[in-house]
Amino acid sequence: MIINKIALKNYQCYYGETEIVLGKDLNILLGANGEGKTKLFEAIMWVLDMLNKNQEYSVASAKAFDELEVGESGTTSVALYVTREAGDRENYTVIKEKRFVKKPNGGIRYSEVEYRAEHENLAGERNFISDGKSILNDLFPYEYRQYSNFEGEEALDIFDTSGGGDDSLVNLIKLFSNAEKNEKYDKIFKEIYLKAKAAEEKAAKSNSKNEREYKRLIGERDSKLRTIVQKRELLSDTQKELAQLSKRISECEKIVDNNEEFNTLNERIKSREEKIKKKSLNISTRYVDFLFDRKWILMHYREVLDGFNKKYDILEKDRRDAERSHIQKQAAAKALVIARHDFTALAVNVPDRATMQEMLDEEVCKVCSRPAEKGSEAYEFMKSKLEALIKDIEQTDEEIPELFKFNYLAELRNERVLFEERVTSDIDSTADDIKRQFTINTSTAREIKELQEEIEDFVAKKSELVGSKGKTEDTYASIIADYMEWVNQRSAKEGHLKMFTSDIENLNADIGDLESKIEKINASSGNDFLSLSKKILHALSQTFEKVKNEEFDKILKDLESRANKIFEEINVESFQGKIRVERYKLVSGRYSVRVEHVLHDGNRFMNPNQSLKTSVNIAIIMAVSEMAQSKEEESNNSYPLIFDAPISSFDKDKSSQFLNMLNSIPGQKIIMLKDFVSKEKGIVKVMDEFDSLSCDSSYLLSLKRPFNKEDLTTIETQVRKL
Amino acid sequence: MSTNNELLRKILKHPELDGMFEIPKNIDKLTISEARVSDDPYVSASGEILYQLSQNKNVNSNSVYTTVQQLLKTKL
Repeated sequence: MIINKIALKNYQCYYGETEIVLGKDLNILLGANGEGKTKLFEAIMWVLDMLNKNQEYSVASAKAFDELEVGESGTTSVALYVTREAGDRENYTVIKEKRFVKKPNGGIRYSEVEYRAEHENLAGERNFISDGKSILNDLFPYEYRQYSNFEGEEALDIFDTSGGGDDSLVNLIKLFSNAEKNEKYDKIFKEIYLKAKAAEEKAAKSNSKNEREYKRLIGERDSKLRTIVQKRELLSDTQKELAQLSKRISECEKIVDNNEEFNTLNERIKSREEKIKKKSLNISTRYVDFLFDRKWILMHYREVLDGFNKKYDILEKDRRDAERSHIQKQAAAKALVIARHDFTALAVNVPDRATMQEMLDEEVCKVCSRPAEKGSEAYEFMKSKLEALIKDIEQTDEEIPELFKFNYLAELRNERVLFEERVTSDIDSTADDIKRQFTINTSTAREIKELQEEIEDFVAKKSELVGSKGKTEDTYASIIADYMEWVNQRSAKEGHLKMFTSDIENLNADIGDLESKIEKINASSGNDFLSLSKKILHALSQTFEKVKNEEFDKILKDLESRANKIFEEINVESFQGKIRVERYKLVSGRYSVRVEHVLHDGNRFMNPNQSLKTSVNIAIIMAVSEMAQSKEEESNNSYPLIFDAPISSFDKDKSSQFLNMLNSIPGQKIIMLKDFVSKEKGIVKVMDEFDSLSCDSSYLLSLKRPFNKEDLTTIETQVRKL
Repeated sequence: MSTNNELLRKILKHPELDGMFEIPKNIDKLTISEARVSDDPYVSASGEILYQLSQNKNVNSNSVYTTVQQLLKTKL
């Protein structure tokens, strides 16, 4: 939407009818303090429905009211002549009007606000619309309007650039980029998965043999989920309270006289906190990993192993003894056989096996020295005797069976070697690691404690400094009391925050266990289709969430780069640092975005001056606005940005740089400035430097002179086109 | 900022889904309409969801779920 013209009628100091025609890019309205800038800003806010309702009872021009007779009525109105895009021929006029009557007692009575609109189509036909607000919401939706106007320098800090972060920037980015689309898609992906999950559970519940157990698990899980929701609400409330407390504390700290010392203390506290953060990373209490993954659970098996080894050694010795004895027995038996047959222990006249064979070969009986021809009775007798002898030898020469058929001890030995190699070395190194970790944990905890004590000392010194200014003043006394109370409250709230976070983590772990039990029953319930479709939709949902986050990070990188470019343009040839925009996970599990003003080494820039703070804020607002121009989906995403005195802390050079930068960024900007004007002897003049600036339109707002400082009815702002 | 076709490719190429299905050969040119008719349940389901989302700005999850389940019945 583009505001082409503002028409005011009897609005506060704008007596009578005033028209201000605006261009599609940069419009500058100059005015010294008290000459009508803020009233013009408020007039625009009134018609944009962004003005506090209480202020609606002082909209009428005092001069116009003064001219009324008792019973007569007058009209105050502000009209915005707008188009959806620059140069559009379809025109809209949004008008807010209030009638006022002079009462007999001289007082004023206002009628209800009349909020209407007019629409002129391409054919030049005019339609009158009674509901101006709906037209306005269509042309310039509220969610955009709330981030489009900035009254004063402080109002620019819509996001905490001290690094705390809040949702304003996230909302802005979502509005002015396509991130919102991805959020919507992500929601649908998640809902589809949850539906698939619910369908599977429903089927499992009705089919499961373990119906009672299943219902119990589901009930327990759902109850824990509800508790998580409650805890998250508490967490979120605590975070908000903490943010408020921190804000109050920081406001309180601003009153400190000795700022330098105070800032030093703050920096020291910050550095100690950083140290604690780093040291905390060294503390590891992942003993469960040690217990199972690194086999610490087997620590006392050393004794078992020693017992095993002793028994093994005894068994091994017994086995060796038994084997030795067995071998000896075998050897004796063999020797006996050999002795029996090779060294014949027969009668002297009985030949041995070799002699017998020789006798058969020679066909002679060497016992009786008579021939024994083949086939003779004597030959057959010798032959039968030899055969009987051979049979006897073969029988007695049979192998004696081994003592142990299987070598189980060898298997035990292998196991023992493996166990000693793999397990005991792990146990030994784990024990060393645990000892080392215990030592580190103990010393780190001691160091952290010392750092915390130092922080406590610094905080105490800070509170002394806060108190030092007002020891003699009652108001400060109450501030000190409040300050200490707030510091204590903040500390307590931080404790709550940790507790809620830990509760949520534990509940999530319990839910994980319950889910895996439920999953097992689901798997056994036999509904393969529902299980598979749930698995697919779950994987897709998780993947989309990651894609969405990656896309969002890309937007942040884009925003960061645009913001830094603008930041550089505002701070030509002066120190500036760098703007860092990053996504971070809140303890509640949600993501938020924080903006930090950092130095070259990545550390946060502590205590930048107001001018730099304003530069950072404006750079981000303009970067978001620039980004909005490139948003693809909707044809028109351009909305006016309206600023009232946003750069009060800038010097003249910086103001010029800022305005030149502003002019180079597309999109309508309406900016009211007190710069470039001087007041001399009651005459308001525009300085020569203003001539070198380029913009679409510029006006000078100044009070008609002379006027009576104490009489509002003499106050009338005039608008002169430059 | 990615178009819906680009979102589809980013999902299917994401390491999160590694090994769960075979990435289509034409992944770098894959469109939602091609994905919807794929035989692979992961490809077709993601294509179908993004198709439904791009068809109607005010789409609700009930209708998308029903459509996707019907589609998956033919793929699983």
